[in-house]
This record gives sequence, structure tokens and C-alpha cells, in this order.
Amino acid sequence: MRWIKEHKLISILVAILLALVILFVVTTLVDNEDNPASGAVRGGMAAVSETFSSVADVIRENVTGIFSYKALQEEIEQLEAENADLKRQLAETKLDREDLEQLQELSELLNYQYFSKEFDMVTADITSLDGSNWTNIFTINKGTEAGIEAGDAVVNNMGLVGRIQATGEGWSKVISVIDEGTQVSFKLERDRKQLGIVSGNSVGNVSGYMMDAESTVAEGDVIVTSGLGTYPEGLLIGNVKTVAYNSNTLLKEITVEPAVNFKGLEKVAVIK
Amino acid sequence: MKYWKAGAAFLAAFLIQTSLLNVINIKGYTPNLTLCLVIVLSFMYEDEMYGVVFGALFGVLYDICYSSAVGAMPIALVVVAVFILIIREYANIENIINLWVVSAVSIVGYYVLNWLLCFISGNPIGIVFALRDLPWTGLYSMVVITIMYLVLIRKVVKHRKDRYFR
Repeated sequence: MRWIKEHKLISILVAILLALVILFVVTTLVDNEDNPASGAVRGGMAAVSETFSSVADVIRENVTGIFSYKALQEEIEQLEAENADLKRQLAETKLDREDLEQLQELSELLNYQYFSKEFDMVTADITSLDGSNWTNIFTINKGTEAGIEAGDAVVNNMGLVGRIQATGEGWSKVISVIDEGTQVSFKLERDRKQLGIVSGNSVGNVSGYMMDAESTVAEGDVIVTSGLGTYPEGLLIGNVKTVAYNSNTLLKEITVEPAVNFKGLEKVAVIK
Repeated sequence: MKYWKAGAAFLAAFLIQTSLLNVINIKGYTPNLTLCLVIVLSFMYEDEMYGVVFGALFGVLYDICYSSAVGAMPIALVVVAVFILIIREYANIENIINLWVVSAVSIVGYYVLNWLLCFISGNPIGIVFALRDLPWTGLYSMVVITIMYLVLIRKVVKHRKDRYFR
């Protein structure tokens, strides 16, 4: 006690560091995402951050547009070209649609259910994220009031983003698929019998292996979630970048380029 | 500077960092405002514990909102603050060159320590990927630190016992 009184500054520093180390160890070892105290803090910060985000949106929509006139002009030209291309595709698809309707009728008659992309989704805006860090963990403006639960899959128009790590009234915390070591079960889009497992790797991609050593997986193959585990079936994960045979594990190992650009996220959808 | 003022500065930094800065970034890079405040306040107010106290508090807040394990950021911020306080104790020369040297070492140290703790807690990202933006983020942070220093240096109160002012 006497030493503590004589060395007050060092004692306070040691106490703070000790408390933080204990906090770190406990939160690393124990899953504390349902902790009500953390939830209250996140809820409070999400409410305040939303106001700032709306200011940021005004700046994004008005001020930055002035400085990026040239880029916007190029974007308009690109969109016009895409529009023309889509009109042409739409004309071609009319025939395909008739085929599809016939197939759907046939599948209903045969009571055939293999793959459905009908998801119950909630769209949400990203209200806050820490852009100065390498992690891709962010907060969205929808939570339990929209029926969102921890573990729900998060996607955008490009593909699988991640999952809801914690949620509360008016906010949800999203962790990206590249930010955790959790394994995701997938299948090849061209041959849905070929299954595998991927997880985030050290270079910001995902990597994993095929379950079958005889798999015909090749570079450029598209992989989607298999529906086994956390994520629903059919969500685009990305394209196979490299394939290598590991003679020790007797498995084909792959690295995958995620379909989603995690640094350019603005809106996401949560699959309930 | 009073503690409530330092606390308000950290709160403002937190809110700006997570919303406005993502819009007004330069080529996608943003400075780490909380780290900047910890460095500047620890460097300028060596008799106070602004960096330690608010680094710990707001580090915990950041980790609750944007990390999977709570503790990595506050530990890294507190270590940076303590490092600067020790430097000020044994090499007490306050000028802008020293600030830049101390800031550069602190920024690199902070990101390496933060990555290490995140890695221990299960984040799969490797150090090379994690630090790939460091040159630009660090440079941007150094600019912000310099601006903060030049603003705050004008408000430093003369010490009554300082013989220079007698």
C-alpha cells in the first residue's frame, strides 16, 4: 500500500493496463456479443453516429459531386452503354423467360425443390465504420425492430459480405467474411455436387479446400454458399483464384477472390 | 487543458472518424484521429494522463463497435501514450522535429501492436496485409498531428515557476 501511495502514477498506469489485458483475455476467450452493457453502448453510439452519417451523406451527395464532375461524366457514359446493352439482353431474355416458366410449372408438378433464391431481406445503410483500420467491421441502421438476429447473413449486390455479429434496436454490427476464421461451406456453381470449405486468410481473401480430392475445380470457377451451416444456399462468395494439390492432406486447396469490394460498401441487405 | 475538454475532443474524433472522414478521405485513406490525439496530448501535456485515460476509454468504445475482441485498440493506445510519456521524461525536448520522430515510431508501434493483439484474438489477417496502407495512413496522420500540435501549442499555459518567464 505504501509503495502504491508513493508511486501513484505508475500504480494507475499498471491498473489500467491490467484491467485492459483482463478485458482482452475475457472477450477473446468468451463470446460476449450478447452482453447487455456492450449492446447499450453500441445502441447509444449508433444513434449518435446516424446523425453524423446523415451529415456525411449530404456532403457525399452535394459537395463531393462538384469535385468529381469528370468521374461522374464518365460514369454516365458507362451507364448509358450498359443501358443499351441491357435493352438488347432484355429482348433476348423474353424467349428464355418462356422456357423458365415452363420449367417452373414442371418443377411444381414434380414437387421438385433444389435451389431457391427467394430470401426474406431487409436493406440497410452503413451508418459507421472505422476507415483507418484494416478490419471490415461496421454498423448498419437496422436491428431487432426489423427482425434481424445475430448470425443472419449479410449480402450486397455483388455477393456475400458477412454475418450479423450483434444486434439491438436500430443497429446491427456486421463482421465481414474475410475478418474471421469461421469456416464457410460452399459448392461450385457449375457443379453443385462439388463441395468445399473456405475461411478468411492472411491476405484479405478467402481460402480453403475441396472436400473431394477428385474435384474438377479450376481457376475462374464461381463458388456459392452450399446452405450447410450459417449461410443460406446460393450466395455468391467469389471466383477461384488458384488451385493447388496438397500431397500431405490429399486435398485440393484453393484461394478465392471475394466478389465483394469490402472497401466500397454503402448499402447492404440482411437475409432473415 | 481540462479533462472535459480533452474528453470532448476524443468524442468528436470518434464521431468524425466513423462517419465524416469516410466521405472526405484522400484516395480511400483516412487518418486515425484517436491515435493522433493520444500522441499530441501525451507529447504536449507530459504531466497529465489525457492519452492514457481517454485512449483507454475510447479504445474500448471503438473495439465494442468495430472489433470482434475488446481490448486490442485500448491496450495499443495506452502503450503509445506511456511510451511518449517516458520519452518526455528522459528526453524532454519539445519541438516539431521530435514530435515527428516520436509520432512516426508511435504510429508504427501502434499498428503493429494492434495487429498482434487482433491476431491473437483470432483475426486471420496477416501483418503484411494489415500494414499495407500504413505509409499513407501514417503520413496522413502525421499531417493531422502537426496541425493539432500547431493549434494547441498556441494555448500552452506558461508555468509560473518557469525561470524563462520571470
